[in-house]
Amino acid sequence: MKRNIQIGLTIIILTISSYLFISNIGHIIYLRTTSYSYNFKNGPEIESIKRSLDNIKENIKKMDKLTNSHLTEEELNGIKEDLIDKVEQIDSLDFLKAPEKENKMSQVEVFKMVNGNFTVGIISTIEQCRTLSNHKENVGLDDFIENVYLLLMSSGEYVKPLMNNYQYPNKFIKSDNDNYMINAIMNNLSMRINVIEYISNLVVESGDINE
Amino acid sequence: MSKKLFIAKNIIFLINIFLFIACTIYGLPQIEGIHVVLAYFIVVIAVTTTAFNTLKDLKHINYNDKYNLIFIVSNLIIMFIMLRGIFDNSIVTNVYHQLDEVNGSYYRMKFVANNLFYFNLIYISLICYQLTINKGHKN
Repeated sequence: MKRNIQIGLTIIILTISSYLFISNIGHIIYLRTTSYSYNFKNGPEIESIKRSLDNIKENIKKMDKLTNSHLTEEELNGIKEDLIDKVEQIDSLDFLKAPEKENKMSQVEVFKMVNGNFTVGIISTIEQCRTLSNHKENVGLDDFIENVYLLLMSSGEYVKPLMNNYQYPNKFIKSDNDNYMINAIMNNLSMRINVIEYISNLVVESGDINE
Repeated sequence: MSKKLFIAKNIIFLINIFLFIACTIYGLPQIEGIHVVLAYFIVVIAVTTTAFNTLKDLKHINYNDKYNLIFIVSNLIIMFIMLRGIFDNSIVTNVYHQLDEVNGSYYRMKFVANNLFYFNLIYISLICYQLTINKGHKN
């Protein structure tokens, strides 16, 4: 009787151990080999981002020629320096440099992309909007707040599938592997840049351009 | 050979206890679920019974090779999972992990907590197995 119980318990323990071992190896392979593909060339976000980026650069040039602005010189320089920083950060994003081919990204590369995206911060953008609203009524704060809401919501959207990594691959929902996460990252970046572009437009409109 | 297996078993068990304490420090108790409570309860029972059996009568140390071997294999797997939970950052490759270490370790511990159900099954089976062994005799 005891022997039968021992055999039964041995089978249970070895079965669970084997399952855990195989699942963990599968999990490690999954985390290191899963890739997301995205065809940047066909994505409308790239063109939108590039157009906005060109517009921001143009506005920065115009700010040098700005006269009679209702912003103080200190405020103007602060916003300008921050915009230059952000343009440099956006320019350094790898996925904007070579959008011609269909990219396959590993989890680690997506992680880098998310990190790169987050360096284009939102806090200083909010501060700039506050500075502008101190001077002029035409800031469109409601629109701006709505934009920030969407921005934060879309951030959560693409972080969520990465958080599911604490589960074994056999528990994954198939749609988690789809490319919507890359789309969400691109949309998020696109919205950030639109807000920055909007602020640069407001700064330029705050005074006269001395041509 | 029997004695070596016995010593290896105890060393691995001790390491696992330390890893479990490390997981506790990293925030394992913050994860909700009956498995977590049960795991703490079972670990206390397993540690107590093992220590009690070892210290009670050193002449009657359990040299059952089959039990020791199963114990070592299953505990090595458990050790592997806890080590991954403590050190493997790829489990949570999200931005919050970099910004907030507490959040990162929370999700790594959630991975460990997902496995606690299996840990419990293994330890309950091992305790049951131990109860079927005649003390002081080789099977």
